[in-house]
Amino acid sequence: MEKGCFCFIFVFAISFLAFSQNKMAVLSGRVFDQNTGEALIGATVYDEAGMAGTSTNAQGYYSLKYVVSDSARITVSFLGYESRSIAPGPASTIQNIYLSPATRELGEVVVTSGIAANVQKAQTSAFMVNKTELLTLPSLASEPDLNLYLQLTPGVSFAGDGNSNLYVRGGGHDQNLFLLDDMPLFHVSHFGGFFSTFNADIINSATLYKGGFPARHGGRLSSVVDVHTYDGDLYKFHGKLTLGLLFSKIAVNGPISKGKSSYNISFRKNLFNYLDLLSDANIDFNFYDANVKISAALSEADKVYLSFYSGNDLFGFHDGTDSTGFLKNSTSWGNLAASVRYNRIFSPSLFGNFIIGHSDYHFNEYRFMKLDSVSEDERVHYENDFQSDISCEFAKAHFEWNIRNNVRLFAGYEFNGYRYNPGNAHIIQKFPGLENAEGDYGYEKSYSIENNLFAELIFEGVYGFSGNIGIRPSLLSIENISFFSFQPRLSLSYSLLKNLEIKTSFTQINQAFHVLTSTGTGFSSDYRIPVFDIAPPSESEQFVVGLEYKPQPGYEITLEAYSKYMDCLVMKKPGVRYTVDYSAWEKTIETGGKGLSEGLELLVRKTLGTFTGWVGLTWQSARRCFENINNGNPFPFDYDRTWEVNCSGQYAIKENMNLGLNWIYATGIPANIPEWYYEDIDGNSVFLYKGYNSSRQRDYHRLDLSLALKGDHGDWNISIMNVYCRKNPYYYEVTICDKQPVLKEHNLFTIIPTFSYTFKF
Amino acid sequence: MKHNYILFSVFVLVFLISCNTMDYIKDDHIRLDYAISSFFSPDSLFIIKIDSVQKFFFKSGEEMNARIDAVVLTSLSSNEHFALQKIDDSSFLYTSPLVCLKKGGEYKIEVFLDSTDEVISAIDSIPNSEPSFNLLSTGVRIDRNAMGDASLVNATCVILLVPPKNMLRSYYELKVFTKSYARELNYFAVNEVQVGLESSSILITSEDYYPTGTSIDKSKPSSLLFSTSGDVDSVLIDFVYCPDISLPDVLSEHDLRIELSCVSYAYYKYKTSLYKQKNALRGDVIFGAAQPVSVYSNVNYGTGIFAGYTVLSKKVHVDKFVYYD
Repeated sequence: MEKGCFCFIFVFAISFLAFSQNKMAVLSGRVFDQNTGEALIGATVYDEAGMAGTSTNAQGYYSLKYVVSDSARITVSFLGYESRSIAPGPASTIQNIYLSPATRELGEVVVTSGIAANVQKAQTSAFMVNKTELLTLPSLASEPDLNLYLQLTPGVSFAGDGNSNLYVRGGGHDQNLFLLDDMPLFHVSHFGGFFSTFNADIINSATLYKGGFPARHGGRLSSVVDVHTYDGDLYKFHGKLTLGLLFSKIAVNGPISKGKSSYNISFRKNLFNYLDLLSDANIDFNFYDANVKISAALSEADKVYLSFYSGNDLFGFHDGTDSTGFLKNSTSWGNLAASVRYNRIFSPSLFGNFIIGHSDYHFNEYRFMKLDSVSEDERVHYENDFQSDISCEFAKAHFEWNIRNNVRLFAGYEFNGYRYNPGNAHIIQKFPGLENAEGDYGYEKSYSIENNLFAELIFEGVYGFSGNIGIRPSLLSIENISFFSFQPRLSLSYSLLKNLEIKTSFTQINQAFHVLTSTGTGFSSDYRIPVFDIAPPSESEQFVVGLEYKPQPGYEITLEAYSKYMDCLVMKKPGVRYTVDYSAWEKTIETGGKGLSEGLELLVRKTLGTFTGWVGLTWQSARRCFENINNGNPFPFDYDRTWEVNCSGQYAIKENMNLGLNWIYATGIPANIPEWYYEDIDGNSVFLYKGYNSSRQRDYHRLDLSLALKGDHGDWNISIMNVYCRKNPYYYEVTICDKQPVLKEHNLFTIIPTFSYTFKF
Repeated sequence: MKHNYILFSVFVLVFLISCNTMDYIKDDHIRLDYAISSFFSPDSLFIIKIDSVQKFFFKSGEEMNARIDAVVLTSLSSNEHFALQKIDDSSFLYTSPLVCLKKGGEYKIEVFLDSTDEVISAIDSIPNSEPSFNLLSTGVRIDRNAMGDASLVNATCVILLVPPKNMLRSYYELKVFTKSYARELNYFAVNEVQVGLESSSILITSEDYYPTGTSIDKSKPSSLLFSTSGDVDSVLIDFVYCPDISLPDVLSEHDLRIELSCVSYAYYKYKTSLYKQKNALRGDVIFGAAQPVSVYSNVNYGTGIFAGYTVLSKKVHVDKFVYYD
């Protein structure tokens, strides 16, 4: 019934809007930076006479219908750039437009927002990243980080020290779809969660969707983080070298063929093993990120891109030498993604974007011990190489059809072919006195294919309503089982008063695989497993209603309430090792879980002027329910923070000096602290819990400051994290000492000053 | 303007209607005044410990537990009742010399409290199966440090277990006790001690409670629990133990007592969940705190364990072994 209604509304809306259009000429093309040739995302293209406008998409594409007349003027503008007005011809044409950066004298220091306003008017629950704020945000490594920035926004639970994962509206960190230039990345956290895999310097635009997902996005239950990187300067070479305490990086970009093709390459890596310096143990630590993007304009209408990302982390211990005996334990993980993207303006009203690529994530635990320098019968050799991977071959074809200036149709097809290695270990075991053993143990490798169609109709100002109606039929096949989902989407907004909009959205979304994750704090140990008969795809339904008020340019206040229901969730059985029994999932996982999160989010944001920033307030309640956990009763989600206050600001003291600040207060996350204990007849202490996640950690709060100084030859960035040395809880440990219970709180960071220097060449 | 308010109300109404709820299942009325614990077998005197459950953070002024009126053990097989008495006033142990437990017998314990009609109770039986086992071999394992030097000499054993012939799953616990001798003191025997065990048998390493090779700060379990299906003819179990850690390069001469118990399902569930809880409680700076594990209980209106088992025992004398580099 629900599906039928959606089909009817969708078809009716398309028919009505398509037939009611007028014949006008169409101007379309891309908008670029005049100096660098970089596509400008979210630039406004406005027909002065017809009083209609549009904005450029993530590829800088626009399409505007205008009334043909001698006085027709199209104005193109973008924050921080000189506006440009052009007189369109009588016939539909494709025309690329170049804007020059603003060169006006700065009577006062003006910080432009850099927010790309390419998100639809009816869109709820979207947060567009302010690049200026992002680049001056206080951070642990004096390195701005996208995930840590997004953690400060309402609706994203602050994860805590040493954790850069995103927990959006009661969802797990595995429920976020990270798109880097349209390539999905599976895990975006570096060791210790100090920072994510996104190199902030190359980010052109980033948008977080917490709800009201457009139908073009799917595959994860809780959020979409859509990141687009710079193409590189088409005319001049640029280079940056940053030296920091935790890592250093180099970034270069420039033309390959002047005015036609460009490259943008960045690489960051820890230069020295600072963890080894801090500890007596022999610690192995290593990480890197590499981003490569090559773009080329084949013609005015055609553009092709090559994108590549590789990142890896390694953490472990070793002891001894080959001659004396050697011991090594390590964990490593990383992503690899590559794609070819082609986009074309087929006609002034039709734009297509096509991408094929590969993305994979690998997780490895390695334990090695050997002793060869003794007699044959005393030799020891032990090796346990555990590997868990997922890889995805993907292809997407997206079309954007400009039906009228206020009506667009997005439609397309997406293919995802997943290959799973849920977990396999190669074990060699040779110990004196014990039988030698060698073998491979593991879960079966499997494949799944996901075919998605999507269509979304976006309209603005139709009987006072703006909206996005979409469907995303999806067929997920694995072996002989198929799962079909319809996934309707609806976003609507209506202007109650001038500058005051009421918005609502409904989203149904499915996830193509499950993630088993350790609920420990901070460390990466995720295993991606396929859906199967006892664990069908997880589903989510989310309703949002909200108010958006923009009292004047540069100010916005949003208030949103949401209710999100999740079904078919999966989690690891408490206390069960992942590798316990490779033959039966039933022994390892709990299935059929349900989740319900509800919340209220207030965001007051200033995006223009010498002072920019926001204050966010969140109330939320996030619950999970599994039949065999907590006696079948709902229990708080691991990152359920009831209250959260975030203040983030940036003040331009001088033209070349910015002060950044953020302060966060959050209710403590749920913790498992025993309520009772007894000693059994054998003298064992037995702990009893009131329920799962029935206690809470102490509340979390912290103030961070940063100072960014821009010089002629380079930039300094100085950060102080946790200025007032708050000892925030990391985890709790319970023991019995002398028959008395002892609860010990472990902390991770107190005050941390860091700095970095960026040399430009 | 009125139109706007109506629309606003419709939006809010739709949102409220869409809100889902999650129903809480009512907990059974559980008293947590007392924890009972007893592992009973036909080969030993029946003893049960009835101790009050302690609040983790006891606040003064909180009400005390109800008093115990009577403790009764009933043999459900023979319908005999035994009133249990405290061993002494200062202990929490109850027993009766009249109790005579039998293999295959089903027993019920009841603890009557003075202020309530609720009776703390539990039922379990003693396994009736007849497994057998033989000690196949003993040996030594030399653990070395990273420099290749012998850091510890351990003793190794392999046993062959022949499970009972039935189609049911059987549960076992393996315990090892050592009694060491000091020659210079003329064979003066020290107390028998239970030693921690390691094993490489897949039957044991595949159990949840057994620590993985990659577990940080792993400790040897004090006993090895495992189960066999009814269609298995025989299984080999190896284990490693260290009789005396104070002499790292010497395997001292000792008597070894291997105790293989055939345990009830409740016994197996309790012990394995207890070991899992112990492992889960150990947090560390990398992995943080693990998910909590509830220890299995088969006690109604209280908590604890009441579980039966039978024991098979073998003794062997192990000679001294000195490692010469």
